[in-house]
Amino acid sequence: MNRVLTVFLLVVLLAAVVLLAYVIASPRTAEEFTEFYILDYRSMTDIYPTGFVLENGKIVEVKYDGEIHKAAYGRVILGISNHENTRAEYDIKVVSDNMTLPLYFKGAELELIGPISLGPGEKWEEEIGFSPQTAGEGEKVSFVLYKDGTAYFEEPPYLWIDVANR
Amino acid sequence: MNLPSALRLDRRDFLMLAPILLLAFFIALIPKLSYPYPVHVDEWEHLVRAKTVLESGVMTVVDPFTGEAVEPSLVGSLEAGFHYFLAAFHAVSGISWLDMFRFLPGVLFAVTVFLVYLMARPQGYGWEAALFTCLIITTVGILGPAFLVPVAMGLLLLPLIFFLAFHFKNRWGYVLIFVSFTFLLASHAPSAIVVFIVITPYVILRLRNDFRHGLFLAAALLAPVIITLPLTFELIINTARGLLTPQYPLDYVEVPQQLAVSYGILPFLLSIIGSIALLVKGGIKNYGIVFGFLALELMLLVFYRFHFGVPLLYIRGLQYVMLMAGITAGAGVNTILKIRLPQHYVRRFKATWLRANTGKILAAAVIAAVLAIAIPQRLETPYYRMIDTEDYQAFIWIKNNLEGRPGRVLLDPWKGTAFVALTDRYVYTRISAFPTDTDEKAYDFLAGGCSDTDFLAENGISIVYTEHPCTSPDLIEVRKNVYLLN
Repeated sequence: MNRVLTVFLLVVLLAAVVLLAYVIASPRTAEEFTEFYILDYRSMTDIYPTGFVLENGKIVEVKYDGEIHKAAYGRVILGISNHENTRAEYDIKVVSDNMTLPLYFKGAELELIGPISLGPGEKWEEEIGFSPQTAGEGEKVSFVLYKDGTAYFEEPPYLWIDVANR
Repeated sequence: MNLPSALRLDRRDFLMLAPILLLAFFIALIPKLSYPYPVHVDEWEHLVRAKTVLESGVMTVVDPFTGEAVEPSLVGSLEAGFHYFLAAFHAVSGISWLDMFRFLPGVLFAVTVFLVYLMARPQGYGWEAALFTCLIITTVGILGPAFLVPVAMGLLLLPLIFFLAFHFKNRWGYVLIFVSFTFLLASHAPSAIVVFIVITPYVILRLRNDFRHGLFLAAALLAPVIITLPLTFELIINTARGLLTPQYPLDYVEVPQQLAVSYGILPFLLSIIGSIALLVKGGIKNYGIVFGFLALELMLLVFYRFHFGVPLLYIRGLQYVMLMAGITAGAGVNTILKIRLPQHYVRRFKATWLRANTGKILAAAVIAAVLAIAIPQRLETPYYRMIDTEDYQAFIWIKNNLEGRPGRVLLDPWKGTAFVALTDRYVYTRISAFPTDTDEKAYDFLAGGCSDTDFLAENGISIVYTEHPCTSPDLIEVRKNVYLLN
C-alpha cells in the first residue's frame, strides 16, 4: 500500500512539474498588433522635417528644426514591428491633403513602399524620403500603413509641415 | 553537524510536501498565468522604489514618479526594508524585474508553506497545516501572497518566528528572531504589529513556564521597536491619537462575511475544530497558536464592530487571519484523521478495514471538497490589469527611442505608475490610491483632444501617450498613441 502511494505521488508530482513548466514557459498573450512609428533620420525624435521650399514644382530645401538641407525630399525613418503571431504583408503610403506623395526608397521613386513581409516578432526599419507637392502652412502628412491590403490605423501617425514657394 | 530534530525530514516528508509546495507556487502564480507584468498598483510602486534604491538610495529629495522636489521623511521610507530586499535580490540574482514580480511571489509563498510545515510538524499536523495555508486568497482589495508586496513577506516571517520560538532556545534562535522581526518592521510596520499581536500570547505563556526563554523572546521582539523609537516616536504618538477616533473599513476591502465565502466556509469550520482540538490537547505551543489567533481576531473584531483601531491593521490583518485559519484548519483535518468507527459497528458489520481507515476516508473527502471548491474559485478571482501588451510595447518604445528627449510624459494617470516603472521617465501625475485634482486635470486635457498645449509647456510635458485622438497642430504622432510636442 505504501509503495502504491509512493508511486502515485511521484507520478502526480512529475505531471504537476511538467504542467507548471509548460504554463510558465508559454504565457498566453491575448493582444496581437502591429507597431508602426516614425523616427527622424538620426533614429531619434528631435529633428523631423518641418519646413519645405518648393521651386518650379520641386522641393529644393528641407528644414529640420533650424537646420536647412539642400534636398529634394524630407527624410524620416519608418519602423514596422509584427506582433500579430502570424506572417503579414505591409505596404506604406504617404498622404497629404488626400493626395499620395512621391516616396524615395533605396534610390527609387515610388508611390507605395512594399510589400514588406514580416514574420511574427520581426521588425523593419528603413529611411525613406517624401516630397510634398503643394504649398501651404500647417499641412498634415500622414504615414498610412496597410496590412494585408487594408489600412491598419484609423488615424495613422503624422507630421505637421509648412511648404513655401520660392 | 547534527540538525535539530525539528529540521530533520525523511522521504515521506518530501513526498507529502512536494505537491503541496507546487500547489502553493501555482496558487500564487494564478493572477500572472497569462499576464507577464505586475498586477496590483502597489506592485508597480514597489518596483519603482526598488529601482530608486539601486540608483539613488531610499531617502530621496525627488519624487521618483514626477521628478518634483520632496522633503526626505521617514513616512516616505516606511517600507525601505522591502525595497532594499528587492533591489539586492535583483542585483545579486540578475533576474529581470518583470520575472521577479511574476515568479518570486510563488517562491516566497512556497517557502511560507514550508515554514508552516516545519512549525506544525512536531505537533503532528505539518502537512495538513501546509496544505490549508495554500488557500490564502489574494485580491486587489486585501492583497495577498500572489503579489510581490510587503505583506507577502510578513506571511513568510510569522511561521518562521513561531518555528524559531518553538524549537530554538539558544542565542542563534533569538538573534534570528531579532533579525527577522527587525526586517519585518523595516519592511511593513503593520505586518510587524500583527505578528507581534499573534506571538505575544505564546511569549506570555513562556514567561510563566520558562522565564528565561520567554524573556529572551520578548527582548528579541521588543529590541527593534525600542532601538528605532527616537525615529518613530512622533509617528507612534500620532497613530495612537488616531485610535480614539472611530475609523471605518474602506469600501474596497472585503468584510468578514465576504471573506469567509471567498476563503471558504469549510476551511473556517475546520479551523474552529482544529482550534478546539489544540486547546483540548494542551501544551504551550498549541495554546500559543490558538490564543495568538484569538488575539488577532479580537483586534479585528474591535475594529470592524466598534470602529476603533488602525484601518491598515484591519486591511492587512485579514491575510494573517487566513494564515492562522489555515494552520488551525490543518489541526482540524488532523483531528478528523484520527476518527475511528465505534467498536460495536466493526463487530456488527465486520468492517475492520473501514474502522482502521475511517479518518483517512473522511479527511480525503474533506480535502477533496475543499480543493474542488477553492482552486476554481482562485482561478476565477477578478484582477484588474493596469496595462496591456500594446501599452507595454509603447512604453518600451518610448524608453528606447525618446531617451534623449527632455520633459515629462502625460498619460492616463492610472497607468502612470506602470509607465515610470518600465521607462524610468517622470510623469506629470499618477494615481496611487485614488484620483486627485491633478489627475482630473490630466483626464480633462486628454478628453479635450490635447488642444490646450500651453498646459503642456507650463508643466514641462513634452510627450503625450493617449488612446484618445489628439488633434492639436502642436503635436505630432510619431507612433500610435505617442505624441510629441513640436
